Amino acid sequence: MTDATRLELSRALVVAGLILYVPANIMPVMIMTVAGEVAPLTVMGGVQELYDSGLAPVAAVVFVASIMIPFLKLIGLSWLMLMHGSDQLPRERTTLLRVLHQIGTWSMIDIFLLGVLVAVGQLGILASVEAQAGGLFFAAVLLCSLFAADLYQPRMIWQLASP
Amino acid sequence: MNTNHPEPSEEDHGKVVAAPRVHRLWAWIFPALAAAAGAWLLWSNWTSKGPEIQVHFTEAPGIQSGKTVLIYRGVTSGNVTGVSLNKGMDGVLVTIRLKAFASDLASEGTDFWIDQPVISLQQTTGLDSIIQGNSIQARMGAGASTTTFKGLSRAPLTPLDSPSLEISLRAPSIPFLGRGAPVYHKGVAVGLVRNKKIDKSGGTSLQVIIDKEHAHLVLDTSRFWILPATSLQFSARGASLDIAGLAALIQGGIAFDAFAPDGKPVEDHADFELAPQEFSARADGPRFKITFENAQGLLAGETRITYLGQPVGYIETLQVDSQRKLVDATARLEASFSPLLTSDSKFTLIRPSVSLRGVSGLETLISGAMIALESEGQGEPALQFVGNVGTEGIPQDGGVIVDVQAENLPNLDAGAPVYHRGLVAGEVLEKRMGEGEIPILKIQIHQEFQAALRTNSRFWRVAATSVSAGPGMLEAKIQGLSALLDGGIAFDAFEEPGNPASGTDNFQLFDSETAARAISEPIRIAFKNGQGLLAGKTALRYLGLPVGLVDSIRTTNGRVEVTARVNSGYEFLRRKGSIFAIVQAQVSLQGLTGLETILSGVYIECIPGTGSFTDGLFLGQSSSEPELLEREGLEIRITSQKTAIRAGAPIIYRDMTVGEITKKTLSADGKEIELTAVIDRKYQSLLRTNSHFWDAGGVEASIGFIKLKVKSQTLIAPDGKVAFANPSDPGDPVKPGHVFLLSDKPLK
Repeated sequence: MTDATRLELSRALVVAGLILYVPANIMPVMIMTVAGEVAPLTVMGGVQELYDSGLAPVAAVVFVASIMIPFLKLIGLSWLMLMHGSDQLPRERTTLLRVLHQIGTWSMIDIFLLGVLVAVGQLGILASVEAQAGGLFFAAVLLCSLFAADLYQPRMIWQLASP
Repeated sequence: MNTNHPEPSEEDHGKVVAAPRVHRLWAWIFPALAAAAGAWLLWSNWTSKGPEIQVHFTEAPGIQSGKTVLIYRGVTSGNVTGVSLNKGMDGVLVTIRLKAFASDLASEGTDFWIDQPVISLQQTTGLDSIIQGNSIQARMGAGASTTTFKGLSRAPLTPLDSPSLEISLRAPSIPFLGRGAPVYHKGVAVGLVRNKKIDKSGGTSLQVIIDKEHAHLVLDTSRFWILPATSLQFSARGASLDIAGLAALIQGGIAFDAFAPDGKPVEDHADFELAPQEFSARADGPRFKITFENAQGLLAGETRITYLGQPVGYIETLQVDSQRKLVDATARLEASFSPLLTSDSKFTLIRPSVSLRGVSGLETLISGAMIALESEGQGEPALQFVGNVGTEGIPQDGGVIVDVQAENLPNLDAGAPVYHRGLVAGEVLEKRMGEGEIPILKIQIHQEFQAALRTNSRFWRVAATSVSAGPGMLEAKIQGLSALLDGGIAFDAFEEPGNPASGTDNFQLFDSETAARAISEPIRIAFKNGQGLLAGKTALRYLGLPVGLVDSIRTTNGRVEVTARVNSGYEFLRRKGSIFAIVQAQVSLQGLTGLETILSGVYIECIPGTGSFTDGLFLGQSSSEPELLEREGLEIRITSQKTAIRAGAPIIYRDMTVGEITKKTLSADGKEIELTAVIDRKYQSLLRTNSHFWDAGGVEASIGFIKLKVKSQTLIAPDGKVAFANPSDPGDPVKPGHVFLLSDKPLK
């Protein structure tokens, strides 16, 4: 795969991630039924729920991990895509790319968590958790950003920046 | 990629050649897919959303924005998107986003209610909401589309279909029927009571909904009545317990039927009357009025009108007119009997009457008073009647009322029957104390017996139960069941009937029939010893038959003076020379006499004299030989030195008994025995001055002869016997008191 293809694919994936980010956050990722009460939860709704139940630190962690980081990752990738070919700040951009790459290792944790919840949280009539389309979108966002960050190599920053 | 680029020169390596991008367009399939997915999502989300509606509730317990769902026929058809109080703070505004497939719910007539658990006797619903939380339920309406609704405060009775027929039933009061009570038609539940309400004018009514499929059964001639939850009825047939199904057991129900043949189906919201009972529902004829002077026992809505014994109507209302002192009863008959309401109709109030004259109207004791209708169905139709108050079979007016005085009235009371020759001729109306501390009974004699009551009629008490005993008889008399309890009064005239009695006549009450029969002027008799005599009990007898009664007993001048009365027709006993003798049982070696008096008590035997009538004092005898007194005939005397013959010995003439020795006494000088004998009247001509008397029964004489001259008579006649014979030339007939000599041997 040529660098040009990588670049093109990476750009396309970032755009797709940005598009998918919207429904991923609007749509409920799961429906929790606890003691008869049906609660469809979006990611943001989940954070709200945690915060409302007095678990502010957990809410903060979930917020950072599930909302901010995917978002910042997309923003960062978009910036890298836009800066491609420019010779400015190559060092910083390389660092950012490496950081994004590293974060990518953990990015699927939400989905993993969702899978565990759905699998474990089947307590019949008392409580149940069902995965919803939002989770799918969320996973798609994560996959897009993951592949985009992987396809875009640090050397591609340098190649064009120093002809 | 190299093939597409112009071969770069060695030196030229800074030149960037824009690569043709056509070949890498496939990469953009990802954002395209993402956009498509997002777009589809948005589109499907948008299309799945129906209109947003607002429902006003008075309260919305457990309704949460974003969580509570709208359920229609068990399907989630919308979501609550907002819950807020309305401006006036007197209600809740719930905003619901309907789903697209349920957007038709946003039409007029749709009912929304909050489904919450209801656990009552009548029903248990909404249990699922205990677990799932409250939800909003909907029932589809059919009007034009709208977005604002007023929510119901309670779940409707028919959550699925709107009822096709709603009617209201008016009733003065609705005791126990409530929401959900079933409505039956011929035993089939066809509807429910929806609501119970009081309108502005204070009238109560029930809103009833009838199932769609049964709506055609409600006709404009239908009559509705209340089925009591459980009815326990006592009737002449016994007690019956009716339970109209389990649902009705607790809350009762309503039944309806059309009793009239023609009826048309009714419109929605029709008005009907609700009758308290089936029989009052059946009575759907025109209302009419009966006026009673006294309506005791009448019950509005209960009392039935019977015709030929069958209930055909009932009393609907009772109104007391205090000015006219009358009670106006509004009544209705079954329509088919309405032709009976004519000017000749008679209404009689029948109440239970357990008087001593008998028990009448007994069925009303259980069923309550009723009104009997008598009508020929002829005459002008009428709607206004005057009712009679009565007990069956007894004429109310007519008859005569008289006063009867008595010494004491032990157990007679108002209602006691008055008999005339065994028939009930009247009754005791009142028992009161008259002037001079004499109890008085006011007695009504019924019209048909009025003629039987004469000025000289005699009243006597009929004992409740009487036991009388005599020789060979023991009789227990019970004067019917009513008299058994209370006794009664009887009357009769024992002499020639006098003038018909009027209401001003006074009568005396005697203790017994015997006393009443003894109507003669008092006869006074003096006795040396009055043992066994009882005033009011001891009878006077003539030839063994009771003919009078001892009225009173007192002692004067060392004697017992008895005042007695004899029955009508026996005045001849009051003659000079009449004999009155106390007869009582004698048990002696000589025999038993007056044995019947052991049971019947002593009595006074009367033997009329031949003298003139007298009011003077008679001298009574104490006799143990009643036969003596009964003998009538020629009295002679027979003297003997010594004889075993005793009083009672027969006098034989040619083996025929013609008389009797009645007395055996010592002569005045003590030298001989004097036998008094009576020869029966028809045989007295046999007796001549030269008749020969001898002792014919001598036992010792018989034993002495070997010829076995022991005659059977000796055993039969232990007193011995006297025979006489006449010589061939009979002398003159004898006069009373003639003295004969008793010989030992017969005439040769």
